[in-house]
Amino acid sequence: MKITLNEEQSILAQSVARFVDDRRDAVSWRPADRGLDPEIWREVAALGWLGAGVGEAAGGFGGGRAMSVVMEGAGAGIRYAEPLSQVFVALAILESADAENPYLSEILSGEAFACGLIADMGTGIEAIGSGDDCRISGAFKAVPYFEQVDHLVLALPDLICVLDAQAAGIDTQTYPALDGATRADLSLDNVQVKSVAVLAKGESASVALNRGRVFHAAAVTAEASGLAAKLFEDTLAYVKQRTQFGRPIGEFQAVQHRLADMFVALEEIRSLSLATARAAEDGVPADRRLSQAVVGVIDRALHIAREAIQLHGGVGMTEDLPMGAGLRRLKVLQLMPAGAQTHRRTLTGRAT
Amino acid sequence: MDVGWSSADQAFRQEVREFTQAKLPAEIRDKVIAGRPLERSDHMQWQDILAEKGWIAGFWPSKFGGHDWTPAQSYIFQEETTYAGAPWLLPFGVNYVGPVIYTYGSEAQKARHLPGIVSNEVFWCQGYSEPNAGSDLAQLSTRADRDGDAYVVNGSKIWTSMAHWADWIFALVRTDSQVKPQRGISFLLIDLRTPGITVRPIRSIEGAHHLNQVFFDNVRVPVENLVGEENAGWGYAKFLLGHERVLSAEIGKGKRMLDRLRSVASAQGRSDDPGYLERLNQLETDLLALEWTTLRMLDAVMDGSAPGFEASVLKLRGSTIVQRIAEYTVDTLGPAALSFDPAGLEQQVNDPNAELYRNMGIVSEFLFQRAPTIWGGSNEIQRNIIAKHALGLG
Ligand SMILES: Cc1cc2nc3c(=O)[nH]c(=O)nc-3n(C[C@H](O)[C@H](O)[C@H](O)COP(=O)(O)OP(=O)(O)OC[C@H]3O[C@@H](n4cnc5c(N)ncnc54)[C@H](O)[C@@H]3O)c2cc1C
Repeated sequence: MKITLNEEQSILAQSVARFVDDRRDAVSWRPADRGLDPEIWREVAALGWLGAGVGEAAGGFGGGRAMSVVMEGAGAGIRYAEPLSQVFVALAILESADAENPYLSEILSGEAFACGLIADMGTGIEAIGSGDDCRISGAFKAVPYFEQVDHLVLALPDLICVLDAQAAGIDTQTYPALDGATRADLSLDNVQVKSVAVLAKGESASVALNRGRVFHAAAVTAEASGLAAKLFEDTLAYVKQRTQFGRPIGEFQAVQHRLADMFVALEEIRSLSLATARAAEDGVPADRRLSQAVVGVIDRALHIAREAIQLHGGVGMTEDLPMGAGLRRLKVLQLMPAGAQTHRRTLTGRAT
Repeated sequence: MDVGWSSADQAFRQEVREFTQAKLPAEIRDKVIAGRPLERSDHMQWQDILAEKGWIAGFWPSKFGGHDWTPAQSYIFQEETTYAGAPWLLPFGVNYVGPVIYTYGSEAQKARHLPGIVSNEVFWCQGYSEPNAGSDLAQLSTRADRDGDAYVVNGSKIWTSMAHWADWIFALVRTDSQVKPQRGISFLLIDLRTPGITVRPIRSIEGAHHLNQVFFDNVRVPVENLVGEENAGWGYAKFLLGHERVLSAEIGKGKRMLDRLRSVASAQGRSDDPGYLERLNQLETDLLALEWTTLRMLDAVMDGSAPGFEASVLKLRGSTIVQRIAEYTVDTLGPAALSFDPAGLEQQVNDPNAELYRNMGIVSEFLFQRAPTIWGGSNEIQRNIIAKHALGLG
């Protein structure tokens, strides 16, 4: 079985965890105050985390599992997770489409910031024409940090291409979002794709789209796993320390059972997150089980977030602790395009 | 289905409904329905309207300015006004401190404080919880030491809702630390303009400001502001908690929120979605069960056979039902729930992005609705009460 992390992955996990933990009380879980902090992004790139998302041929050192390791560690620090997750999806699509394309190195070094958009995130997406006159129309909602994005890496069923975020025909409406990021609704009206920016077509495009899907699911579940673990651990520590009625509230059996249930939910989250990481590592097609894993993780993580607030009492309702920010971020992972809600609808066969 | 309201009750319901329809300002109603935070002036404007009609303290005895409403009338009033989108009638004066004063207060206190509540001129807040005394309130340590004709108060109260808007605070303070904790607590009325009081805002997860910590630094409170007897405050506080808990059945609010859920589903094109319909049915059923449980308990209260734990049952279910409706409404919005800006929420920004922010109140309300299972005796404490007093366990 390939369950435990190899040595390299363990070291990576520890270093990400330490990095986020060091910034824990200062900035890590706080909303990003709107835009992406370029300082933080430079730091992340310099640490080499982005290389965890792609293999050696593409200039990295990892793949699905290593990416999940980074996302899980970053999950405890909300402001790191979101930009990382969209870049990892972009990298996965780019690597699959053409491991030697010039965008990869630019993104890996942190010079350029990219956002991976898979077909499932959009509505009414259409690519018309071919060759030098390929044009794209449609809408993508809630694209994070769009103002900082240089490249939009687009994965459609038979076309992988890179759009300049400033390209003519992209209309945007930007707003502050529930998780503290700035997000933008994009509407694409006959946006021209340069022929050099078309990286794959036909069958290889569909393979790359699949990879984007699976990596997206793996990134979401890994992040939620890291975030749920943080909310759980903080709550466990709190019930040991908070005294009411002459003893720590963790000594009340009613509270103990709640923590035990949270713990079991967290174990299942880790299992499902591992399953998606394996799917990303092995390059299997996105299937029902992948959707089930995303839904199962987000449902359980939301349960943990609600319980974390409840068991903290009044202080759980304040911005002095990460409970509220955690709940808001998980709600985003549930409701965003291609998030858990989209997967749930796929599973029940309802059109979105 | 009809419980068989008396014709007087039916007439009263009609009167409340018509009055609310005619008098509730549309801007306030729209804010309430949209879930946007209310300002002090919104609350005051509506309560002034009620005060003018004499309906602030309807359930109070008429000699103190009320109308001797029956519990059924109070229920009808609350259901009709909240369903119509009226702001929550702030309970601190009318439901909490008022009844304590007319039950245990001196004649001078009644004369001084009751008229200001009935006329909606004085804004009260509740100073019970402390950083180290929440569920275990009896551990409170804010102390009041007698010095001549005054108590000198030191310590702090926390989670004090709306203290930044209030004129007065009623507080539980420690006046004897040598005895069993419950027996050394007194009930003080404190003018918030007294020197030595500072109010620090606490920002909560839905982005609004209603919570505060109130600090007392050698605050001199005249002894005539002690309610009842020194060291007997715990009994008054428990009397008050009874009043607080009966309120928590949120039938009118639940119905109003279900209406909004239906309109959100329709706007999102999900009205026929089987998953949505199943969930809506569940929520409606939960609310129906709460409604009839409330009515049964109301009947028991009126004929004097109430067992004493009914408020815990209603608190437990009322808080979670409203919580679930609020969250499912956000889920039904889907990606339309993602735009959120606490700064804008507070400044009531409407344009230029009104379209994008239209749903922000719904999201903010979902976040705020995590609180009712914590406050007013947390749901864990309510379960303990039911287990112990209703079931005889422990
Ligand atoms: C929005 C909001 C508004 C409020 N407004 C006011 C106000 O205006 N005035 C005021 O005085 N107070 C107010 N409160 C305070 C509220 O009453 C307290 O938060 C509540 O009593 C819980 O106390 P605590 O926060 O200290 O939590 P704790 O008592 O520390 O509880 C923490 C957790 O432990 C659980 N727990 C505690 N004891 C037990 C037990 N024996 N068995 C099982 N579980 C247990 C609790 O249920 C909770 O989940 C407000 C609170 C909120 C959230």
